[in-house]
Amino acid sequence: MRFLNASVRRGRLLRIHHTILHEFDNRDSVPSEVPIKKLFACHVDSFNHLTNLGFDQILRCVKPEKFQQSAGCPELMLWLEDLKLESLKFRHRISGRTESQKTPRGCREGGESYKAPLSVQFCWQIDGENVQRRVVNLGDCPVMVKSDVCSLALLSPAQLVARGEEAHEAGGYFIINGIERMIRMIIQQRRHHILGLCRRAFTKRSPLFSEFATVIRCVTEDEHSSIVRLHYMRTGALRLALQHRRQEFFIPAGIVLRALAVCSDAEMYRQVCLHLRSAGTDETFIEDRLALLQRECHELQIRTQMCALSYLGQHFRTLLDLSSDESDISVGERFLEDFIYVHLQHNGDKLSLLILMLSKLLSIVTGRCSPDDPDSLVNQEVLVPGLLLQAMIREKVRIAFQKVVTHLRRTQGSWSEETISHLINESGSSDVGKVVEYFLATGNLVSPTGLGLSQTSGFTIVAEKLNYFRYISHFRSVHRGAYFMELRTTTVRKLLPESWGFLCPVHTPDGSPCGLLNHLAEMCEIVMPDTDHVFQQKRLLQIHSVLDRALISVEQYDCGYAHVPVVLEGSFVGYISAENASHVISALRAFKVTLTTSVLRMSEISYIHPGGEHGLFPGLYIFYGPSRLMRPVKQVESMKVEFIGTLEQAFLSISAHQVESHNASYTHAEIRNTSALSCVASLTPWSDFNQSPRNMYQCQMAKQTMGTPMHTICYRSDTKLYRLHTPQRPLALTCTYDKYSLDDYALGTNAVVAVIAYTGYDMEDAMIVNKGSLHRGFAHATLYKTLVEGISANETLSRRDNTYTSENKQLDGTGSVQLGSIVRPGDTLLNLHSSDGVTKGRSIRLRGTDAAVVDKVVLTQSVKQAATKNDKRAAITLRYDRNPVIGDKFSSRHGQKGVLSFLWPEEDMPFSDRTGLRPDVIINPHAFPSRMTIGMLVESLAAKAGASTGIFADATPFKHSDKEISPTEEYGKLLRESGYNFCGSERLVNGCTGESFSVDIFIGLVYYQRLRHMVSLFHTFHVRSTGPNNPLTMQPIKGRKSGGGIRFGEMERDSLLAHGVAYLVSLLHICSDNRDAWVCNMCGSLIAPLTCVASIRTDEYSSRRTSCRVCDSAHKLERISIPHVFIYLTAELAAMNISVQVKAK
Amino acid sequence: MYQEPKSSGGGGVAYNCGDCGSEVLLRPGDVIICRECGYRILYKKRTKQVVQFEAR
Repeated sequence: MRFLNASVRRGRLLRIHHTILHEFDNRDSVPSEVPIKKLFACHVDSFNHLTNLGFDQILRCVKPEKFQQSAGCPELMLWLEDLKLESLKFRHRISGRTESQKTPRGCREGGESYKAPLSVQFCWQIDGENVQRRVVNLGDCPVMVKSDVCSLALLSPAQLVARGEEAHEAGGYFIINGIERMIRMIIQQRRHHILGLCRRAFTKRSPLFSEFATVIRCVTEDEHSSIVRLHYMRTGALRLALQHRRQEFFIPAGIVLRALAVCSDAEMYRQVCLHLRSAGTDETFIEDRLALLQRECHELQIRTQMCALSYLGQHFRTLLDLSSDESDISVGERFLEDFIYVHLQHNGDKLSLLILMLSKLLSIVTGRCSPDDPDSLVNQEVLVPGLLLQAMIREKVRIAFQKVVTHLRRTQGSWSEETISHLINESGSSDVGKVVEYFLATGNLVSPTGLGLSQTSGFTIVAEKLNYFRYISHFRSVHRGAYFMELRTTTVRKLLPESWGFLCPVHTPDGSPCGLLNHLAEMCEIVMPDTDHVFQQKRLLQIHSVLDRALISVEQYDCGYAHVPVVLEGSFVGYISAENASHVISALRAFKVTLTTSVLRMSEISYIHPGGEHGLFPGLYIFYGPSRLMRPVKQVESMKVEFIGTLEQAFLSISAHQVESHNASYTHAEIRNTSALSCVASLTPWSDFNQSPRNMYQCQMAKQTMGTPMHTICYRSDTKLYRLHTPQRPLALTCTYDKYSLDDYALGTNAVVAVIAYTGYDMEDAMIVNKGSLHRGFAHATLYKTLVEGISANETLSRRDNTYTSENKQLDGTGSVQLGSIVRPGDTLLNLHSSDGVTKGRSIRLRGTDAAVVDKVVLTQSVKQAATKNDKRAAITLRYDRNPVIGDKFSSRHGQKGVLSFLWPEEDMPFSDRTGLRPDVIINPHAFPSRMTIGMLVESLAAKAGASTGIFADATPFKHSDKEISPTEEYGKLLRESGYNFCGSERLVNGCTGESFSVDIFIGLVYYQRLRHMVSLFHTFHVRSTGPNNPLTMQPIKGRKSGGGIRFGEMERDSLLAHGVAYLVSLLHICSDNRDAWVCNMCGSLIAPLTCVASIRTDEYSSRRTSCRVCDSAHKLERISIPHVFIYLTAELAAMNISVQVKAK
Repeated sequence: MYQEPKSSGGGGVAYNCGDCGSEVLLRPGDVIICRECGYRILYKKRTKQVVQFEAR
């Protein structure tokens, strides 16, 4: 019987084990090499694009300039070539001493920036002779770690470890002055997509404007973006709005239409009608608008294309830096090229796009379709670091080139090689690297154009390595933009259904950045620019091969049927009939999934069908440009993985669960049930059992947990690092945990948790911790702090004298503290001797209140010896014990945080009468009913079963919901087999009295995290009578950082009053803003009595005298003690002509 | 019997190179550089002095 039981149990065990393994094997339907690197890919790949192709694109868009001083003179042509960032890859060392190369590790420890030289070639040619070249250095530009030019690019994990890096270093950040900083991803308007807007703010510009407009953001190949808006005026006229150098220009749309193509009025009318008739607009309305367009042109005497061009040329000549001998017409052409729809080359394409914009605007105005939501992810894309840098560098290189051009234009005399190269050296070199470094160090963008971005600061943040989760989530975070932080309305913060699968609904902080700082879902990817041009050609061919058959020419256009426009990455290509559309789309979709290397793999095919309830402007929109968000789903028919975009997703039917094929109701299905969650959110076990805000709290707390931040602590000098001594693998874990091998960076401890109200010390989210567990190492941690001291050229590290005092006994001969010694506050860590004889030497002492152990002393010297004064520096790393004390914060993985209130002696803890097991942690049952964190109860149960049978429970959310068996049942049965109660409760015995409790107690294992916010015991004095005060109110300031006090509010006051304190209020008053003030009892004024110092000349009265200025007497002045704010209030009211009268008795 | 290496005076204090690990003796005012490989990050060696920790 027993044998049978055991074999059955083993069988079941194996089965569970098998399902877990199976789940883990299955987790990667999308192929990838090292999964964790994929989370950082959008940063690294975008920077790689910049160095590989981005620089070429920048140069290709800088047009060669031709100069001719006068007719018959030699012609000079100037252009740019070979913009490049030098690779920092390891070169083989020549024997013996070589100049050591810059490595990320060296920069981190030496407090330097990790950068490489950036250079460009100026090339010129005179009259077709030999091409002359001159390399111009553009300064040292910061390099992204792990990018192609980084020295770590191709190293294996073992090589990385040998060089003092993490084995799976993923990179994605820059090192600026030894600090790791990264560029934050920011949401911006989707490129090449016409957006219909309905904004009240437009009407505020002038009474002529209506609230309707259509807008498109156009991006050139070299990532220069410009926005074109088409406004609808109240008169029915249309205005094209452009922005240049933060100035706005409005042009009547008719002029631009006329300038773009030779096109008769009838033709134009026909084209506009084509769009709108299919949308069902009545024709008289269109006719009126078009007539108005033409009338505006006629009023300005513009009847031909040439007229329109020269009109534009006249007015916009100053915007374009062109030489004065260009004709108005060519300036007008250049204007169209540089400002109107910059992503399109041909004027014909621009015309049809403008007509499409016009039609969309008119159909919004007539109410045929509704305006788009600019806050929806459907109309958004993400600004990735590499492309932001590309736009920055583009601008700086262009400015440098333009400088040379203007100087060359001004120079008189012949062009000799010397003069030109001198000129290039003089005006062409600009420190682009320094600009980039400043940008990365401060996050401030200094740019004359603003790069078309809505903010100028806050682009970069420190990639904190408090723990690994926080680190990862930095790289997956997407910010909505600094502008929206101040916005009063909450519409931008709302969670919209369109962002399903792209942005995590759980992982957003609460408080001011809530809803603005989002995190990408785990599988969501950002489309990168193409790696080569052939790829793009192929893709266009493939799309056209499908499309061209279905396109309808204008002649074939039949108004009886529904037709939709086809827009291919912002360029209008024609119409297809609505019946044909489904064939075209399925053909394109088939191309998308044929191969993993398919040219269409990352293309978005969104079909907005006409006449739906969605109210959107119909059309087939195909996008293949970069920066879009895409995510993998499974096609139901072919069971292949397809990447879909945000606009595409809104019009697909995707099943939330895995679906068998031949299910006609869905075209697509999710790959995983948890595909909407971010990496950190998907680590919460059984998060589907919890109330949703609790999962949000857990995402917050996971990021402020002490854990294993890195494995290279000994090679770094971060100012503050926390390290947990006893990290464990959680007994209940989700499949994401092993996918990203987070065991390497574990951040918690499995604790035996009993849910009882035991002593009263567990009230209000307090928890009792077993003192024995603490002594065994429960949640022990260390804080590493590094002090960095620059040593100037005239200072030397040495002992000043040979006298040993208690403060400097730990110093050695060179004047730095000895490794491994214990230092106390006030002890000398470093002794610097000044050799110039003018300044005194100085010594660096330990501050604070805690004793520390010296962990590491590192001396570094930067490579550039002469350039900087502070070239040497010493970094002293100190180790502080941070073992749990009363007041420390702990939390389970379900948003259940608590404070350690008592270290209870082990012998007095309750214990199980069957096993004798004592809990590590006791929490109060009241923590559950209102918070409804059932996931924690399930975890407790499953981890207990797992611990007793030796398996790690699979806690992936949404796994059990469609099955019959619930996890409580599954693990309850397992518990029963191991001899425990099915419900996880046990009979416990009171440790103090030895009596067993009358109720069974729920006891199990829960993974506990130790949070960073600790009471810094003994040295916080927020209750104070002296200290900094607010100069206006004279009340103590708030904030611990600035030495302020803690508010003793009404509730605190009430509690003291309830305890019978008699003189509380006067005490609070004296400790706050007490002031002895004069009050005049005649007029009752607080502000009229004035103390004046009697002047020296009048010798009648020598001392100070106070008198009321209103009554001009000092008879009835009374001195009272009142809060200073009250006098302030009186003064403010007096300014409003309200007098306050006080009667002092 | 163990003797503390001569730290003060002429010999200088021993450091380890961060790259090749070789020992570098530094005197006050010396350039911070490894004499073997030219690396410019040096780590101080652990003291051989007795360090007494409070084990309570």
